[in-house]
Amino acid sequence: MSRTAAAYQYEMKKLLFARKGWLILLCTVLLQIGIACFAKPYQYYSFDTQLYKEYAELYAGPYSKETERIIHASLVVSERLGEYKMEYEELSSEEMREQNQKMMLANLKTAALNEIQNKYAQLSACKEYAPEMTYDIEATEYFQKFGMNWAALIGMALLLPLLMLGDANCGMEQILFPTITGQKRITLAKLLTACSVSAALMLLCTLLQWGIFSVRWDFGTLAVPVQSLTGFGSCTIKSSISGCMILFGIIRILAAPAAALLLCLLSVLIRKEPAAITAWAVLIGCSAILASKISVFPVFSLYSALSGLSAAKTLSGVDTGFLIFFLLLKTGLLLCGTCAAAEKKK
Amino acid sequence: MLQFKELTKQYGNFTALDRFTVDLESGIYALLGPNGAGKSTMMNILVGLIAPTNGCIYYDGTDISKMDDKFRDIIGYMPQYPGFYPNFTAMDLMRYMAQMKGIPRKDAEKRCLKLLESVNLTEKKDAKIGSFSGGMRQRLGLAQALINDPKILILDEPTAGLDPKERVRFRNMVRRLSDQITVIFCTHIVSDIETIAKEILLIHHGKLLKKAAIPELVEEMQGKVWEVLPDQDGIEHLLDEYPRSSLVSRNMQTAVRIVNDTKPHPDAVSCKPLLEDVYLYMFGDDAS
Repeated sequence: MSRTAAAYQYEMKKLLFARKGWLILLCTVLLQIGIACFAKPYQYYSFDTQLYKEYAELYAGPYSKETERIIHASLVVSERLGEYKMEYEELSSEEMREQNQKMMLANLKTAALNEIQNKYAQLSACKEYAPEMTYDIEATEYFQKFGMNWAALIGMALLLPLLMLGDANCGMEQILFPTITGQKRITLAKLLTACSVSAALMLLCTLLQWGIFSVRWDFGTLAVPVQSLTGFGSCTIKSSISGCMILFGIIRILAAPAAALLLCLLSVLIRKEPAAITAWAVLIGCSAILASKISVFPVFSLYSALSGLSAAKTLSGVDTGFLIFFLLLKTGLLLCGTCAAAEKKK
Repeated sequence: MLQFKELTKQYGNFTALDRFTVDLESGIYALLGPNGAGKSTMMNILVGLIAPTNGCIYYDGTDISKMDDKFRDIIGYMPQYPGFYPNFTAMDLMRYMAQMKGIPRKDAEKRCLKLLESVNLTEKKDAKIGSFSGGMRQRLGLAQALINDPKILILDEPTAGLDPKERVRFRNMVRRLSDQITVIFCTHIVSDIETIAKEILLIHHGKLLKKAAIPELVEEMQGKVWEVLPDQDGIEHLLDEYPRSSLVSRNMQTAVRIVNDTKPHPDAVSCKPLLEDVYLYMFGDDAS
């Protein structure tokens, strides 16, 4: 076994058992269960699910030129349908009615086929200009809850400073660093422990959240495009709701190590647990404010990545790719930066 | 051989270690100096806990900063008041340190038990460290420092908190080890080293004042140590006038032992110097 692997094994053991990290993990899980069980849904709007499904099937993917063309065509058809109806009512003779009936029925059929597209246009318009009138699926209410996972973040805030500062606080650093394993490997092992614990914690909390929500609410309409959800109208990611759930679940789990390493770096620099946790919360909060103020910032924002599905509201497919790229880059830089900061503390 | 060359450590304008240069071979070297003399700084640089501002340390001609793992593999370090995980048992800690020091698992178990036995902690091997007394922690600190069979053993105030019996046991153990290895023994307690140290390194204000064997140091003090038997008022007066002085009992009377270049009192008689007198003489007012 390599020295870093041996150190990693012991860091995990120390964190979970010697420092009673298992108790914090247990509390985090209980907190997550509590939050998910008692989370109140957002108020949703009356909706005919069956009718919606038809619109949703017609609307595959994000708003595009093709969507626009269909909407325009449906509007034209709708106008013509109205004209025909008026003409039909104006016809007086039976004969004339019969003559025109065939032609009019054909037109009505076309119009009926496009009616649904017309309704979609209305739906889109409503979504854009009058969200309060949006017809939506029930999913909206619980999807709004797939934002920042507070339970996992609280768990990380309590666990990670213990991991980074525990040895220094009890005086073990003086004994451990002069060993052959050395400071670099021990610091690296600590950071790898932070990454794996935070990712596992986020995965666990996300699965608990999904599991409990799926029991509380029906997950029957996940195959429809994510744009169907209120607030996701401008999202250009071509994916179903379930696809987006998985994608942003993965991003959230990838974001956890980056957030964990940021806290580790702050712990190493500040050397005081409460101050490091406060600075960390402020930085993530600032990232959230910047993401809401600057349109391009969500791509770089740790908050966006941690927010999970709710981040998809403003991100495109390309943005998501960049978000993952910057997340991995950030994780790598924080890993190197924390190792360097720990070394510099000499 | 361990060589310190012009080793300097500065914290802003404060020089904790000032061009410290010395060569050490196998045997026990006692590092003697008052608080803030630079002893701990020197040891922390040696074990790699802090980096020097200037200068180098060489082991058998190789710069230790270039040896990296290889150097850490041959040192054993026991810090002053070693801190341990209170929830670990003594055996847990020894196993952990064995892993960190790269001891194969199959050898580690035996070695841990042997060392715990040698520091008289066998009965407490499964007890939580949190329940240990100061002396037991010190002994555990020594056991962990020895687990990798070090060629250089660095002990920072190792006897603090030990009772007289444990101190003797500790001294004997270090003495037995010192035939093949270099032991750097940092202490304030002169009696701990006067019977076992090969040489004394006197350090003050970050500078090495002197490196010599105990007989040589004591010899230099001949004619500088005096004893006086004054009355009660005279005692107070002498203690005030000569800061390098101490009270001793002589034939049921209190005498004042004074370290001074000249005869301090007409009734003063010259007496045989001790290592403690050397300490008082070298460090003057700081010795208190």
